[in-house]
Amino acid sequence: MKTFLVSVIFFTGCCWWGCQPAEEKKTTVDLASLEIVPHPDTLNMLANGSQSFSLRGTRVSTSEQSISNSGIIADAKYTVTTSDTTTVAVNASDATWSSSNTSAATVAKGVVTARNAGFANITAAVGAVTAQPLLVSVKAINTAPGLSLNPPQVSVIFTDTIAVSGNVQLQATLSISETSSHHNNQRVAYNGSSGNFTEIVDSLGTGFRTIVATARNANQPSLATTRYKYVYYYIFGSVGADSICGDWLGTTLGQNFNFNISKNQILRQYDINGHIDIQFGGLGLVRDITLTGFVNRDGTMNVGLTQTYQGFTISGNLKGYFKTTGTGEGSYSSSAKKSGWPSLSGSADWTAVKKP
Amino acid sequence: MKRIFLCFLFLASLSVAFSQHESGSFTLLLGGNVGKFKIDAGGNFDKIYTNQQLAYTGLAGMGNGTTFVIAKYRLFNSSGHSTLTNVDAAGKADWKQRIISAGFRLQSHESAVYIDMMYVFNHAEETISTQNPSVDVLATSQKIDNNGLSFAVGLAPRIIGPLCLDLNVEYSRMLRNPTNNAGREIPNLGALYYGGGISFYFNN
Repeated sequence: MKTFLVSVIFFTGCCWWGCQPAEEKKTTVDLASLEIVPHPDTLNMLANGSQSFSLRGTRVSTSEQSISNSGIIADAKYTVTTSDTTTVAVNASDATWSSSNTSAATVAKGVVTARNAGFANITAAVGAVTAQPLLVSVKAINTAPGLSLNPPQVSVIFTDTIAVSGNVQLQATLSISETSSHHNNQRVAYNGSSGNFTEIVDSLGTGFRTIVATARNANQPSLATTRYKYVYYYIFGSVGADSICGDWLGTTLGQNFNFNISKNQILRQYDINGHIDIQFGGLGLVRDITLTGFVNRDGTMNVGLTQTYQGFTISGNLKGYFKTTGTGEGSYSSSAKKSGWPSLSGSADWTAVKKP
Repeated sequence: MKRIFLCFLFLASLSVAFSQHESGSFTLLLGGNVGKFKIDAGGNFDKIYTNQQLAYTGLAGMGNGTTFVIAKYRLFNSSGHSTLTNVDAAGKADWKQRIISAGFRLQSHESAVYIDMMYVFNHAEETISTQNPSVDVLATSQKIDNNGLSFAVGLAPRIIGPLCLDLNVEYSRMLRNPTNNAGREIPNLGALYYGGGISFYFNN
């Protein structure tokens, strides 16, 4: 019996294991290929034109299934792989676009913009998947480029420096010149995306000056657009400069107002003093608002507006410039504030002429 | 294990009714029996092998009437259906097992009850395939050789002369579980055997 019991205890110490279940595994690859739509071999474009493209890709879904045959000690298995390919639209914004020649054509978010004559390969990539390149052939447009200068066209200034600003069509060559200052910049820099520019012309000679801005077609320079800015440059205290002094009659919204320009020898500036009537919504016409200010060296006016009317504190500013030594124009904006009341405002343009 | 205890109690109760062999003299033991061989294999064997044949066992030994050195040779075959996943086909499985065991038999003086304790050399071969349709890559054969221990309790009452009836229950367990050709650890191939036959105890 003892031997029997020892043997039973020994055998009950043994253990055993179960078998493993069959496995099934699925894998999906999102994007297998990418194509720019449409996909001609070569796309012909005109300079400064643009065209939008979409993307299409193929998505491959791969499924792997394990098939097995199992007994107690024997196992046999193999894996069946099935693939399903579908065509899907790909958002152009999701792709990384590139151009092999950005001087000929640029591309962003699927929009190809032709710049100059030449060829460029346009490609798009999403992750590691890259589309076949699209060859873009750009033909230049031989027209005069657009050019505009910011107002005023005529300025009266009291310094020998003036800023000329404006906008030019992209790819054009911009030049700005002025005779008395010998200013001659044949390649004025401008913003590559907006075409905006600002050029400082200094060392002007006194008197009436003409600044010439010319934009030329980069491919055919004979095609050009020219704009002019006229400048009256007077030194403070000169006869020409002093000719702005005197009484002026302004007009705004059909109402006249008067101001006087006088020479301030101490500060070496021209002071402005006067009164103006301004119509405020909800308050009516407020008369005799005081104008006090001066003329900047660049010919612009810097005038403050102050008045107290029925408990309202009126403030604001009047800005403007001289078109000639006898004419000027500009605008004003003012507000009327009173505790417990909503803020009221009044603004308008004005013109003025010097009284004889 | 419950079956082992039940069979043991059954045989022990019968042993009182039967007389013992002669002891103290050299005894040659020959015998054979047939019975059910129940492999557990993690509970899967009966699910796969629905057509289990009887196991046949041959026995030889010698001793002094109470202690014997014995050897057994057992054959067991079965057929059934292998387990298939993710495919619409019928599985087929064939099982062939050959067990050689050697050890000692302890025979009681007072009764016909004996206990066998043996070392087991187990060889199992399984062949699986598919039919309807037949898929070649799902057909394979695996052979396993491993060793274990077995314990048997039996009753050998004398019928006439050297001829004895032989009823026994045997439980075997392999010492370790090897891995198969797919890298899977196979379940323990230990089994419960219960069978009946005859034995001859030849005394000089």
